[in-house]
Amino acid sequence: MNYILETENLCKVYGKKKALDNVSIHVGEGDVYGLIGKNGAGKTTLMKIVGGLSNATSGTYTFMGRKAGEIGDVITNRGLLIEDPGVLENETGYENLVIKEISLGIKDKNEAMHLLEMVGLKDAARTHVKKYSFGMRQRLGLALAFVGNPGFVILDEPINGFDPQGINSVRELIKEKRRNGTTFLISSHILGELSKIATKYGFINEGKLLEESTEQELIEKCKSRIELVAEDTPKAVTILEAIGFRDYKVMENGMINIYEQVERTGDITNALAKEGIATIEIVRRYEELEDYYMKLVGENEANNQAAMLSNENSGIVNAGDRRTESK
Amino acid sequence: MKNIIKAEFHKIFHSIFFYAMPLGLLATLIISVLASNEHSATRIPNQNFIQILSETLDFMVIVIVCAGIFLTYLWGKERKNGYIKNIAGNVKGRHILTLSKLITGSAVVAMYSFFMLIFNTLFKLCYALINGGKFSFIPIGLTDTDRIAQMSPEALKSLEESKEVAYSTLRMSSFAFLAWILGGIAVAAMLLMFFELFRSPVLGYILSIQLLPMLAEGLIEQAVYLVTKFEKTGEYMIVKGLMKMKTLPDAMYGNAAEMNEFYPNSIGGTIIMLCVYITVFSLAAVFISKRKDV
Repeated sequence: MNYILETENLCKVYGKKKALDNVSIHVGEGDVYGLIGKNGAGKTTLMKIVGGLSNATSGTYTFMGRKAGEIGDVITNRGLLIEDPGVLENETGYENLVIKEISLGIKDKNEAMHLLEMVGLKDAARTHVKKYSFGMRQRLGLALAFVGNPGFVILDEPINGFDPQGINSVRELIKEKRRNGTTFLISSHILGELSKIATKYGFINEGKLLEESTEQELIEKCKSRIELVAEDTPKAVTILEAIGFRDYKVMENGMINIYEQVERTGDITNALAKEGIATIEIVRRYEELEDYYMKLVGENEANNQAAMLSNENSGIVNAGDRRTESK
Repeated sequence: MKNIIKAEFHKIFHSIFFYAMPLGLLATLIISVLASNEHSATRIPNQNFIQILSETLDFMVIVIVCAGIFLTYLWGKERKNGYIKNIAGNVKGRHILTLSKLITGSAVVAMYSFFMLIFNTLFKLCYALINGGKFSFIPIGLTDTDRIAQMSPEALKSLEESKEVAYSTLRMSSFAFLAWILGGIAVAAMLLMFFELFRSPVLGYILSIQLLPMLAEGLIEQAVYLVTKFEKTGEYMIVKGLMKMKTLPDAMYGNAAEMNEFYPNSIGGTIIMLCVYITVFSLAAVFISKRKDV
């Protein structure tokens, strides 16, 4: 597959802290790549490096088929909104966009107004940015990222400070841009929101990429279940066993959680109906992205702790060995 | 890079502070004239450009301070609000931003210098007109052809000598003006270097106001003398060189031969040294910006 962005063992060290540890991500053309990780996981550092704002300590990346040092003219095909929106306070929203357009050599005078309209700031175009609310600044930051209609856009927490309506409009904007061929690298703490737009995910924790999955792979990995509430729980359980279900659990409230053959909801309702047991509720649920991430991080941290303990133990043994040798 | 420079100029010309600084220069000029002695050259009704150019040199330190403060404000503001991130993601190398800043910063120094010269010229022109005096490019009398025709050979010879003095002074003042502009650019490059290093405008403001190089050169000179007992270190210093130029307005009424012997060499050497300083500071700023994150 041709990747628009491919990183290769990226490392970034700040003093003694390793912010990124051999991170290799693969962003395909037209992807909405969701970068998931807690605060300080290394998401922004990674975005800064691939956005050209920071140098990697080691490792490299390829952008549109060109190595980091040879990117050349394709660099203008990259838009970014990293951390806070960088806006000139004493200028108007329109002027902020015009300055970026000049720096990119764009001569289309209508583009700035079009972008402001796109992010819902047309009415505030001539207002000084210092009078903007946080949400308006965030919108302007988004508009700045889209100056020059870049093919690749990096958005770090793009829905920060938005109301539900604003979140929806940003989601629609990203979807629309994606339909027009734009590739995105997005990070967000609101995983539910990210799951509505992302087509690929990178899970990052303590500077390490834990896992990279496509949307489809993630659906398969997330443990799904059927939640069943029937009129007569004990009878319903007997019927379930009769039609071949073994992996289930009856909850305290009488709900039956079935963890296998989740596609057979129709069979279950038919079997219950045949035996005259009414189905009050039957729903197929997937594990939430957040749950999956927490599990992944939990496993990673447990592994790290185990590795540390193992190292400590081996250190004691080695020290013991040395003592023995010295004797 | 051309587009980045254009964007930088756009920001400069959209800043109210850019226009406020020349007003400060104009105020300094007016105050200095008003505060001057009644018998000083500034108050003579007949004014000439050579005198004005020489007098303008006295204000060049203020010009550099104003340019330094403005540039520090401009760079610091952009860094503080993070706007630079929008641009830095779209340049082939972050050093291009630094080079663009250096070029536009140099242009600001040159613009402020010429503003000062134009203000001074216009001010003196108005002064001459109000006081019934004359304004000429070279000192009054030398262009008066009727008077020249009536002059004796000795007087004419003296006049030719005085013409020589005037043109020599004009040449040297022009070089001195250029050297001051280069000095301003060197200060701008140094401010940019420190700005890239510390990412804070605070030091820039302090340096602009205090003109630390003057102090630094004094310290270097003292240190060299203490170690080597070499007394002529000052001749190789930028600020010391510029200080010598400040004596030009007095020198233009003095011995022409002495001036021609000493000053052109001094100015020429200073210009070369300033170019070296500009190169060193610029390269350092570029080197730092390539390695430091935005």
